[in-house]
Amino acid sequence: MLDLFDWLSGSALAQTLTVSPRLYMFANAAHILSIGILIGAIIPLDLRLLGFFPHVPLNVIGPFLSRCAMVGTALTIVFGIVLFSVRSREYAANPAFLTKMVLLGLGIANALLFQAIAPWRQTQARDSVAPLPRCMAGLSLVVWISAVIAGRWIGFV
Amino acid sequence: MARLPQTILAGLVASALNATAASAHHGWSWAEGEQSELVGTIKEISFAPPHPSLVVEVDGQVWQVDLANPTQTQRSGFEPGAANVGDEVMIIGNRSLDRNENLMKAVRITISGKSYDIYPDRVRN
Repeated sequence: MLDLFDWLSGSALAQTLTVSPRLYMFANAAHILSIGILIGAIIPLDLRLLGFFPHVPLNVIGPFLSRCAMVGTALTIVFGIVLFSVRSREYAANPAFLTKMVLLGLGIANALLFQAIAPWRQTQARDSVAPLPRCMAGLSLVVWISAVIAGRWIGFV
Repeated sequence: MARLPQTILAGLVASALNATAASAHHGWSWAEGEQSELVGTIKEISFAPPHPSLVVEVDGQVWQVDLANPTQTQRSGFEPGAANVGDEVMIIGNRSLDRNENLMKAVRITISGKSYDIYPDRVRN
C-alpha cells in the first residue's frame, strides 16, 4: 500500500501538479464543482424521499437526480485521486481523510442498495415513500453532509 | 439502521471539538505570536500542494516546517533546486502553541547565506 502511495506521489501527474500551483488550483476547483453536482442532486432527492415537497413528481426527479448524483460522485472521485496523489502518504495518515473515505464508502453502498428498492422502480405507483427507502434517504443525507465536513476538516487536523 | 446516522453525527461533532487544538496551515492563531528561530539540517523537502514543507532535524529532534501556499512559496524564490537534503537551514517563524508539537510556520528561511521571505509582510528586521 505504501509503495502504491510512493508511486502515486512520484507519478508524472503529482510532479506536474507540484510544479504548477495553477494546475493544482484547477484540479481543486474541479473537485469542488463535482462535489457541488453530487450534493446539489442528493440533498433535494433525499428531502423529497423524506416527505418534503410532496407536489414534486418523484418519478420524474428520482431517476434524474440519482443519475446526477452518480455522475457527481464519479467526477469527485477522479479529481479526488488527482489531489490525493500529491501527498498520498500524508493523506492516508490523516484521520479526517480516513473518516471521509469511510463515509464515502457508506454513502456509495447505501446509494447502490437503494437502487434495488427505489420507489420509481416499483410497478405500483404509491403516494408515499415506504419506511425503508425513507430511512435510507435519511442516512444518505447525514452521510453525505458529514463527508463534506470531514473533507474540509482534513486541512485542520 | 435508524441509530446509525445519529452515531456518525455524534462522532463527528465530538471529533470536531477535539480537533480545534491543532489546526495547522490555516491562519496564525494556532501558533505563538512571538517569532522564534530554528537552526538545523534539512531531512526532507516537499513542494507538493497545498503547502510546501520541510522536515528539519534540530538538536536530534525532528521538526515539521510549513511554508506558505505553493504560489507564495514560489514568489519567495524558494523553488526546487534551491535547497538539498543535508543542507543547513535557519528558519524564523512562529511555532505551535502546543509545546509538545515540533511544528513551525516559516516566515523566513535562510540556506547557505540566501534568504527566502515566505511571508514578506511578517518579516521583522
